[in-house]
Amino acid sequence: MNLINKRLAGELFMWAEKNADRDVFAQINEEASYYINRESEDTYIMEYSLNTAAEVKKGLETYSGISSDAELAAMLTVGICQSKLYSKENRKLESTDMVNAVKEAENRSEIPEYIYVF
Amino acid sequence: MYILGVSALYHDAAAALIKDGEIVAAAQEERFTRKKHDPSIPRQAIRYCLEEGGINPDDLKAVVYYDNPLLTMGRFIQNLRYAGRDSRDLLNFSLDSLICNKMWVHHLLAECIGRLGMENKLFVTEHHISHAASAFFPSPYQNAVIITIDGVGEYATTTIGYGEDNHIKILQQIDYPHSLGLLYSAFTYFCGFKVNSGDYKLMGLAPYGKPVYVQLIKDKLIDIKDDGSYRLNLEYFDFQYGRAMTNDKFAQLFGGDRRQPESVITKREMDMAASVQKIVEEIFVLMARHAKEFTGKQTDNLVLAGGVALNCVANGVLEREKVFKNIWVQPAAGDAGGAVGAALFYYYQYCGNQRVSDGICDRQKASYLGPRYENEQIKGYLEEKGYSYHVYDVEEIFYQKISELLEQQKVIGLFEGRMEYGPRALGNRSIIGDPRSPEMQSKLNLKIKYRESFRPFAPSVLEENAEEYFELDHKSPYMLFCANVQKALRKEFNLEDEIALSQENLLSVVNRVRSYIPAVTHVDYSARIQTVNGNDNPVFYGIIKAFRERTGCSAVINTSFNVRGEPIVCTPEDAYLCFMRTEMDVLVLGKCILYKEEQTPMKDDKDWRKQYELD
Repeated sequence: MNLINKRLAGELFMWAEKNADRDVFAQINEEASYYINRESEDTYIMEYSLNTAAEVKKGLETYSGISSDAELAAMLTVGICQSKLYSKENRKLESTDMVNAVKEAENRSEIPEYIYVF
Repeated sequence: MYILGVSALYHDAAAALIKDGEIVAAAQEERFTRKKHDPSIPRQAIRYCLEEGGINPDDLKAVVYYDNPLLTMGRFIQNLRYAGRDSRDLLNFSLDSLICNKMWVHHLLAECIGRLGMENKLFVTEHHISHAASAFFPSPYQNAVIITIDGVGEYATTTIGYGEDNHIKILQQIDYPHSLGLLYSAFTYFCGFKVNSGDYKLMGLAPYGKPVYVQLIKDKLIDIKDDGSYRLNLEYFDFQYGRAMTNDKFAQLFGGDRRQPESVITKREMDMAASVQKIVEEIFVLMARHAKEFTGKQTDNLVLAGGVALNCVANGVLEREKVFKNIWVQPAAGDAGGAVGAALFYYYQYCGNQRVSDGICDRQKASYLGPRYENEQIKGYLEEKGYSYHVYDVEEIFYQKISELLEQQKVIGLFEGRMEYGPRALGNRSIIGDPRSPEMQSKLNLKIKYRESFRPFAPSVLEENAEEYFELDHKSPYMLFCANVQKALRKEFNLEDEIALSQENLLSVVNRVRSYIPAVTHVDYSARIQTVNGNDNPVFYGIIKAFRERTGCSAVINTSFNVRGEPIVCTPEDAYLCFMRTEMDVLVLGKCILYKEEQTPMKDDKDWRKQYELD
């Protein structure tokens, strides 16, 4: 994990501790069926073109369900945008840690065999 | 209109090119990089697709990625809240890939391709929309109920939908963490096989066991409703923390720790495999019944995709229940197939192009969608390398020769035509043998494939003769349905007695003759069947037909052309290396036949097995 993501991981860990909720997956009708009815087709397909911090923040707020949590939105926006800056710049410099981290993550070499790839 | 579909960054990366709704090319990245289940951006598969189409990136109307990173981020955040102070592993194992790669997938793809089509834009489809589209749009049907089941997409793990003409709609879904795919993966993991790649081993192990844990699983692990919807009891799992699939409580339920990989397989693992398999089959049938009723559509057609749809045993059960008259399963039902689905969704639903189907023939082109090598290229390769070979230009003589070799009990590597798209080898990158041989299954497992002895092999049978051999009343060109060997062909075999006598050595069980075609008859008399016809694959059909004329047998063993842990061979070079490194007797490269005894042994190749991590 690169330094930016290490910092972000630390921040997200603290956020997760503070906002822990064991019932977050429990919003299911338990009467006769566990199916969730679906009406919306809005996200079946969309253009994906995040570039600026404002676009990233808007995307997260609109589609990632974090519109009510400004702290989280800001944290993620900064982390994601820094990752982009570093990854884009450093991809050109072959031997940086960031390039290696990206390649590693891409190759999943750090994921043990018993972990499901999410 | 050319559209490029891409799946990447999760399991099996792949690329697919469609032209005016027709699939021109599709391939998994692993075949080129020689890294099994390679999830990285599919650079080589994309390059191949563009070359096959004879186009440049500028000619693409659009590039479509099969998953929505923003929705995935939403699920990740939900998961963090659930895990709370236990979220460290989740962050350690998932954050990098999500932040650096998935969120910037448009940049990664732009870097890879050069330009994201004419408008330089990336489109993303929902993961299960990609699966649903891969199931419906290439299917033979004008309308169909659609069911997709996998580990997890963004939120959804299971969906029920309906497709008609050029439109699909998801009507119901089950969301993460409640997942049939993850339940199956949990058992795969606990039984000592690899998550993401060992699920089919668990399916192969199931017939050795008894489903004694079904009630326990229902009581403790999963609540199944009458409509096939389900919910997991998370107290027994650890995947939601980004750790192992199961926890100590799960282990206690099944009497101790998980089986260590490569250790002896005991009755417990066999029974666990049988039990979870029964659960999957039960859910398949209940869900199909519900889906037919819920959609309210008068259709006899069902289409399936998602990794769980590769469970050909459950597909066979579903077929025999006759909930739907017709079932079509996307041959690349796992993540690789999402590339085709994403591209087709853009073409049909987003662009509104007309779709026509005849109710009989699918648009998958028998899944022969990968690279091909012409005979001149093959001969050029063999000449350059100085390998000894014989050319058989006359078709009939060529088929006769191969059938003669099969009858002589030779194991043959068959490399012909376009590479298959999806996990199954369908005669173009296959190892074939005589299914009548009692020793062939263990020989193939231990001396050719170097894999576990319990695993069965599949038969490829002439379509017109399939019912003589199997209790199968429909075509199965993609090896996605299991059916039993006909009773008249079976031999007496008591599995329970055999297992008791085997002292946990499954090889002795496998070696017992169970039918006229023992090498492709599993211990429960089942077989994973590929029916072969002359239109889809004239060469493979010609070989099997010649074998029938010579021996009276209309089937051959068909297993993928690779060794354990190796992706299926892609090039003549891959095929030659695999041929030389194993005890395979003969290699057929196009119209060229190579005999092992005429080849010079390879030097300095003792460590080749280290190239491939065991799967």
